[in-house]
Amino acid sequence: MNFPKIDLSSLPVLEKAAGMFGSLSDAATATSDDRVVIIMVYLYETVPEPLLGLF
Amino acid sequence: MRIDPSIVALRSDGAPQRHAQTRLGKIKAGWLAEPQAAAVLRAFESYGSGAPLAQCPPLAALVSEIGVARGFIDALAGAMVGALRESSLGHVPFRHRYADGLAMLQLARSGRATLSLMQYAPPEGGSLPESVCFTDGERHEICLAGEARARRVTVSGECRGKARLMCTDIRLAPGSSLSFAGRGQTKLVDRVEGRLVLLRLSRQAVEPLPSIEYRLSDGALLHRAAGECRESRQELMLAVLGAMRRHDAAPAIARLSRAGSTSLRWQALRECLALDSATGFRELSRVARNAADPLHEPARALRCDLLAQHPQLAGAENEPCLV
Repeated sequence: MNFPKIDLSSLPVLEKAAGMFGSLSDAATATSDDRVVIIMVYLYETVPEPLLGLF
Repeated sequence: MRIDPSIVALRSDGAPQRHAQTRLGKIKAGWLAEPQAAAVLRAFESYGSGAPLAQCPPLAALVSEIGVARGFIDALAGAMVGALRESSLGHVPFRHRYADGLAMLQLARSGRATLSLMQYAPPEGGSLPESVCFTDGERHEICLAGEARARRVTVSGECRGKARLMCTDIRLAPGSSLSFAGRGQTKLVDRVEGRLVLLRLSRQAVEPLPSIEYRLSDGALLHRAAGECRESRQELMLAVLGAMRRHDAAPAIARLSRAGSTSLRWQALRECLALDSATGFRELSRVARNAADPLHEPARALRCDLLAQHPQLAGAENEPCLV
């Protein structure tokens, strides 16, 4: 059977969708807050992490 | 571009850098092997795998007794600072970051727990916080040095879609300890005098709820973010597989839509529908049929819309499910 191609952008997003872990609004002032502080690794990792997969 | 002469020197001779790293690495290893640090870290591992703090006495003492906390940190900081004075380009062998007044050093991580040393300085902008963020987990902190004016902020309910925030003023001074549990409480540091140094023990919830950020002035919801890193990583992987048109990933993506947070599950359903409409529609129908599923209502509405636009999708439900 021929099934349609569906465009991702035509599918609704969840009203309560969550942003990326650690993301904040423009009003955020992370430096004075108690929120989770994330250490983002940009270039290389000096402390190796266990590999994580998707599935 | 100005390049500091000491950096230029390193380009032609990397030996001093390697020497500095070896030395800092030895200091760290020596510290970890000390009886106090070793006992704390053993307790930390139990805590990271779910044991209550009360059942981890060396760790409980670390975040409640200033003498214990200072002894633990001084043994490390003294040696590290001494080595850095001699080799200022050495990298402290712990994950670390600095941004606008907040410096942190992640001393240990095990399971769901992290142990960090934080230093607050007055931010360069000097402005007061406008929002407050609540994360799902528990934190225990002890002030090692410095003083600050802070607030304990509690969500005491909701009114017309806005959170009711209750603030209690607190003063932080050496020896002050604070504990927060769950997503209903946090603290805001308003004004730091000099430098404030805290030792923070934190543990994420087993299945953390999304973090929520509210505007301080009226409690309006400003932002919602995934409660754990793994979920966002999976969402990014989904987006990459979708953009690469990896149809072969559709069955695995369909499986991902069956467990986890509603946000990630819905994203998996969308990506699955876009990659392979038949497989995606079968998953969508499965969710739509289950009235107890928190995604039941949006799934039912989307299923109706898709059937109206593409009636042939009804045939997908009769096809054998190969997932």
